Amino acid sequence: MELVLNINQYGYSVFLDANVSAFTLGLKDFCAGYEMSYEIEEISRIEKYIHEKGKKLYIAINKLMNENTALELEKQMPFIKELDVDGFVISDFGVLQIFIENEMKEKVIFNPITTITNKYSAKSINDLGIDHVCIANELNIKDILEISDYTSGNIEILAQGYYQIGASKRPLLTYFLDQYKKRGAKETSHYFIQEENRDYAYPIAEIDNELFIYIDKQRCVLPYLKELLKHKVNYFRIDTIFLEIDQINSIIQAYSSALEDIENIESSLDLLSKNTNSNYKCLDNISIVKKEKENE
Amino acid sequence: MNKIELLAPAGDLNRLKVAFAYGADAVFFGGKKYSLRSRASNFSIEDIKEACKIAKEYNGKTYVTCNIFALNEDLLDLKDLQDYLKELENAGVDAIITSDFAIIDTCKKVCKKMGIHISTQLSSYNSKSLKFFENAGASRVVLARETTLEEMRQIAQNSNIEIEAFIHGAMCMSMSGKCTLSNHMTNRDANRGGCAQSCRWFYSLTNENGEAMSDKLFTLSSKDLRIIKQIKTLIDIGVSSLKIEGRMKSEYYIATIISTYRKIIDDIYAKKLKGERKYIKELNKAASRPASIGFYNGVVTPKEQIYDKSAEIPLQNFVARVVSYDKENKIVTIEQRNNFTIKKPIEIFGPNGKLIKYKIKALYNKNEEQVEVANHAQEILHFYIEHELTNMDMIRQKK
Repeated sequence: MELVLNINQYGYSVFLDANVSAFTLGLKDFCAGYEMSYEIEEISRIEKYIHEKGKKLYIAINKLMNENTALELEKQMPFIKELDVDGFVISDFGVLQIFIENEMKEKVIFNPITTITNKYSAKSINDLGIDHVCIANELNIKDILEISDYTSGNIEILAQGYYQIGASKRPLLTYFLDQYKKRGAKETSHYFIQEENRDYAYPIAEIDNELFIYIDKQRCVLPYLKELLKHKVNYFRIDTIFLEIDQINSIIQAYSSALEDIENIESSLDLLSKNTNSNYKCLDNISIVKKEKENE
Repeated sequence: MNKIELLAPAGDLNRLKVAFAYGADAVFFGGKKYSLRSRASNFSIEDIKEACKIAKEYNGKTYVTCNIFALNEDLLDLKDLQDYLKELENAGVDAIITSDFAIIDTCKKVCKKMGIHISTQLSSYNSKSLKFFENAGASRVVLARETTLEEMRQIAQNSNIEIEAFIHGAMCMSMSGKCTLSNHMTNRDANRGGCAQSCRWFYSLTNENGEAMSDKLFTLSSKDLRIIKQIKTLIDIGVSSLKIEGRMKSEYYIATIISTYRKIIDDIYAKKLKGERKYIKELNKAASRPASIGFYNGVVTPKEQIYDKSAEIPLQNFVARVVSYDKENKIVTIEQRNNFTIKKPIEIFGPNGKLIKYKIKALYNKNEEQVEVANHAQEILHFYIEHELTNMDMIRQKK
């Protein structure tokens, strides 16, 4: 079982001593949704510090790539192959093909975002020799467990954090601000959009000219952790985007405590709510498909 | 040399007939299972058999969308999926359009003749993706709508598999298949046919401190896609199929758009395409939203976005469909679709480029009463006209 910290922002060194099993860092020019990313040379310097701390290092090459970017990645593969890292997070089927051609599929962590929604799809990816699969965030607990029970490979889920509910290759935020920003309005790193008839807002970020819209409240699977472990879901990812360092540390603490003492989840949940001053979507969020049916 | 395929959408058998009659080479539609666009009427197996029969009459092809990201509950018994795919193949369906690996794998196992087309839902932006899907058993890949013309050229050069490109219709703000706004805002699963088009709603923008960045509400919506000039290049680089989006669209929309693109493609092959204006004028007769060339020339600019409702541009009304024509008495019987008046001229258009501008002198209802305005839904009316019409002809009037 691994607790993986996906460092979308901040430097990795901030979390070097954090109680997690692995870090994921973005590879510059080839990752998506990472406000801070790293060159190949930087990663080759960093990897030993992370390994010295007894942690794994995963590299995100998760951009959905146009032809030129994919060809450029192919050119970089000899250098990427040289990296002493533990896995590569990939979302694009073309990148998966590049990794297969480079005989690196055993290092692939395949995260095609919304795509893996059933046990047969997950198994199909396993059958290609890809052992580590991230399943869609919109699934409910029943589906997650069923997928995990059915597949022989490793299943990864987002445990805690904000996740993307829209990803656009249009830099819509820049365009909107260029045209309609009112005088004196202060630009910040992140923004929120709110639909006129709803009372909740969605965080958005524009990174490398791509716009990402995120869920309004963090996802939290802590209440289901015991059940998930029982069904051999063995990779739990914490996404750091939009979170303060203190919040991230509290989340890590809550999850690592829960994993150490699975019978005492309540105290971890208390820890989470006290120290992060945040609302979470637990049941609501992961039962979204069930709710759809109720509405019907 | 094979002509490039003009691929039309159809929400039901009537629209499928219209699509073929107006010049489509192939039509795609959803079956009752595993298909997005849950609000489209979608075809039963009997409808699909009939669709394949009609397609044969036109020497056309049929593709069935099985393009949901299925949940476990959609696949409770894999035998159902196997049986369904076999039924499609036995009905004569040429290919399925799909995005789920469970469906791809099952189709490979149980179907010998039916092709597998990879849906745009799987975001294919590069030739390596096409290679992956070729190895996975696909015969065609529908490119992501954010692919530029230059990228299409490169992809085509570096690929052996058939390529399908969108040329007309609605565009998603998000990368296809990667948007779950609808799931989270309305509990309607966008990737299982429930998209509520949340990107077309109005939003405010605030900064991290909660301060409004603008007094204006805005939509995230994109202008529709409308490609004309670039089609010649798509033909030259070897794209196999040109796709029109819109399974939810009306028979009038299908007729107008397909007949215009049929003309554009034929004019290109005949080296007669000069300028875009006359084709745009025709396409605009079925337009309800402004259009642009999307990503064809590169990353979209602000001009490709729709920020407010004032951008909506309905120009022309579909007012009636021809039911029959009495050759002896030169009387056409029509069924009303939208209100119209005889005070304004009408345009009658039909397959093979038929276009008649006409002023109705006297319009009669079924009781032989003379009326000036047709304002009853689906009312049967008739009038005198010397031009011979068919039951595939349609009537429109400027707003």
